[in-house]
Amino acid sequence: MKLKAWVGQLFGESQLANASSEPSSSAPTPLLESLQSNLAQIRQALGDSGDIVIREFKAGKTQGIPAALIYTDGLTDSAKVQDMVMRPLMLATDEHIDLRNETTERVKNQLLTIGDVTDIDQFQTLYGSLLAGDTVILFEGAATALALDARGWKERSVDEPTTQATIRGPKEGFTETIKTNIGLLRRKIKSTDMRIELQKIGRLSQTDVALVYINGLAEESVLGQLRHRLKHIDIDAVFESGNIEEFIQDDTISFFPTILNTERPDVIAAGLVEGRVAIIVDGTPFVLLVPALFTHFMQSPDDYYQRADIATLIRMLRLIAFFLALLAPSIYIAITSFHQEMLPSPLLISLTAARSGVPFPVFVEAFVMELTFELLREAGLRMPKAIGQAISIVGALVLGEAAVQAGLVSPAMVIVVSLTAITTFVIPSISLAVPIRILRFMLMGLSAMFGLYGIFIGIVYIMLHLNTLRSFGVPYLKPYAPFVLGDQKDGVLFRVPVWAMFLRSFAVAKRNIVRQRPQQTRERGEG
Amino acid sequence: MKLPNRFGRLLLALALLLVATGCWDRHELNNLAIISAIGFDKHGDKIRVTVQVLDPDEVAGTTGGGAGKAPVITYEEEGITVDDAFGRLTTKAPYPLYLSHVRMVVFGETLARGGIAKVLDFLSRDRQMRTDFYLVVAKKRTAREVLGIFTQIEKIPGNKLYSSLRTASQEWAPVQETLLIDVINDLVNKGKQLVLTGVQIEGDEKAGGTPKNNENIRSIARLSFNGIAVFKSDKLIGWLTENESKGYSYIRDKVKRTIGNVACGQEKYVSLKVIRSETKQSVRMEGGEPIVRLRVEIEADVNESTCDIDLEKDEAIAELEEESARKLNQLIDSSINRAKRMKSDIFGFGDLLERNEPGYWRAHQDQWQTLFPELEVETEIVYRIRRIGTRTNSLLKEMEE
Repeated sequence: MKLKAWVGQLFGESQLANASSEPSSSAPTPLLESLQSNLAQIRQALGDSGDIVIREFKAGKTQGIPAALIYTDGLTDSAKVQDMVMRPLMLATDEHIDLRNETTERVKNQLLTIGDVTDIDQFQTLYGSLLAGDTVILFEGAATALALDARGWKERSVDEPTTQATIRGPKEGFTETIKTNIGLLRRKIKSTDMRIELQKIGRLSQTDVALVYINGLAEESVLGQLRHRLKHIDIDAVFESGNIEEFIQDDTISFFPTILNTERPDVIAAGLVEGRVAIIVDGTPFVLLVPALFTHFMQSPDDYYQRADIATLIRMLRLIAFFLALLAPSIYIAITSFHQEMLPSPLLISLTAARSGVPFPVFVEAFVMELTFELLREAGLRMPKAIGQAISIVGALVLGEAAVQAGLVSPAMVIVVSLTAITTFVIPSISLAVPIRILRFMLMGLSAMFGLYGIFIGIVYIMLHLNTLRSFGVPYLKPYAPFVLGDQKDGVLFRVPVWAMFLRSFAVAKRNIVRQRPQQTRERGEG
Repeated sequence: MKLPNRFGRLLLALALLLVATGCWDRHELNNLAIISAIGFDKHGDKIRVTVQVLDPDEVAGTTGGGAGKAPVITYEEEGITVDDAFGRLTTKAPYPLYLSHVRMVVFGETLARGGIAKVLDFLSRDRQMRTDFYLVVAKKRTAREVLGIFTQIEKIPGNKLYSSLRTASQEWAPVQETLLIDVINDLVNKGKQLVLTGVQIEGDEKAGGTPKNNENIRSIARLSFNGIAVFKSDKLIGWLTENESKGYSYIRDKVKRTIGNVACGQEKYVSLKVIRSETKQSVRMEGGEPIVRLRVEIEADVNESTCDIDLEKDEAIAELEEESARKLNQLIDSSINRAKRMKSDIFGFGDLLERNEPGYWRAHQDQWQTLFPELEVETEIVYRIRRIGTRTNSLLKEMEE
């Protein structure tokens, strides 16, 4: 927490330590028996917000007692409220409504045809469930309210994930609603051992956050740490899992991600059965998975859905792409400006001819081109789809073609930059592609100053850094450092066929590690 | 003293880079004068250095290529040492001279006769020089003249010489490829004298130095390799003829593939393609005198025949093998006799003695120059003809029948 204090000091926020965060909420107040005073209190607390609907009516067919139905417009399924709440209440016989002391109990047990009903006896709880979308019923003379789950709002349907497309594999992706997301996971793992711990984070946003794991597989130490870290988050609002990620990651000063995020339920489900823990945040389709190691970011769900030999080759290709994306421009700079003797003569001549007339040093050339590419990429992200094509035209024609024609940039450099651009997109995880992009520039600087020597220093430093990283206590480079032989079956380079993966990854799971029982496999083989 | 924090330590570590040795001589690619060939000549009592600097635009450029401009430019300068001359060359060259891509080093014959050791020191000491270039001697010419000839197809003369020497040394026994390391080893080794392949200009060398040379189908002047220059110590003392050069290659076990011809009548020959050749040298002492024994094993195919002999018969093949062996023996003998006359042990027999009879060598190494011409050399040749190609008898023979 030294860092936190230091940042605060840096930006002159130290004197704000004692300032209050929000208007302090009052102490828990019990509900009253009088309907009108309850309603008055609620109106005042919610400040007569326009989306809060208070419907007063008489419950009971003949006599009836005054009652009020409160819900938040936009979060409630009004058809449900009509059919399952209003209708039974208003048509109820006196028998159900008459006995004042037991009104709520009877209504709950005999009238309401709705699943999830809870008793509320405090104003604060009432506000909480009301704003979360519940419908609240108050009766005259009862100090207990009923909260009915008649939630229903406009929700995006389960679509194909846009960020992680695969050729083969499930086409469903998480949505913004936590319930749907948990449901998607349940559909994949129908085990009694799958546990879901719900909690709310964010003083104002009251965002639902679910911790999902498989009991007996998830490591207690990881779970404990995760619960501890989540508990200590004290912030006004959480809108995306990225907010949570920043709070709970092990190492803040690092470009490398130590928490995996994905839109794909199959990735999360596979992670759960490996003994990892998922964190679902309401309001975002991006679900977090911890611990996340370097190998996990280099793996794509496709790897497990196609044949092992093909997956292995593709993983090798991906590793080549990783190094090219990281090193291609810096090696080009180093070799062309320091180590010309390393090139075969004909290649040297071609490169020299391509560079003749280029007015900038190769580093400046590379830097400008890489920067341009990053700009194009960023611009392409923000562009509305309709004019997105303009960017590619400007990028390809104006910058690429024209710059070469004008002799400002050598064609060889355009090839190198395109190569890095392509290879960056080969890396399956965007959160790993980002550090590569940043480090690429740093390595370019090092190579421009010190040649290959500088690149090696940079690589050594990156390796040292990666070795210091932990993801919830698990070394980031496991199973390579520390080396775990068994885990090489499914690492950065290889994937053995599924029938040969007898055990769960040692990197995460420590107990109950058997995935398939070998004798069963043998039987199948004989059959 | 308190250690600085993490950030400070990182800065310190990065600062170490600045004082570290490593790659400090940054040059942009297009700011290098890439030399593809160097020539050394004697000029008065100075050394004249000729360098061929590549014009990459002319060789590989997309615009203006093939405009008939020369793909390389030579600059020449004299100096009392090689480095002196190179220093002076910078006044003419547009960029720093870059030596790592030198493919050929050519010595003028005059310089070679005067001794090449002076030049070699620079070549082996300069850190930019690689060791994979070839060294040759310009036969009866100056290196400057050789480096002034336009070459065809492979436009860069340095590369042309390099690749054709490489090909020829594999396919044609009289040509030898020699790297700097071989030259230096031979010079410091008392038991083996240096040889270098000769390069010569055929045709009109004046016109060969103009683009006109490349405009004709029959080029006006060409560069070709011919003969082996024999050195005594670092001085050239004579040239071997083609046959003697061939013999030399067989003795040194340098033959990969070559062509051998055997006569079998008036203007009738069989050409044999040697596909494998192995020479083993051994030495034995007889009466206190060393006798060198060469055992040459050859496998060859019949590549061409204009003879009357009946190649379908085993006896004819056996006869041919015998004749070929005799011919080869002649080549080897002529080569040895020539070297003996020049008193230069180019075959490394002294080296062989040093390894096998170190006692004798220690006692006689200083008189080796006089002892070498007296050395007895026995030759045993095993010649095997393996295949006769896709026809049996000579077409001429069949026509007669």
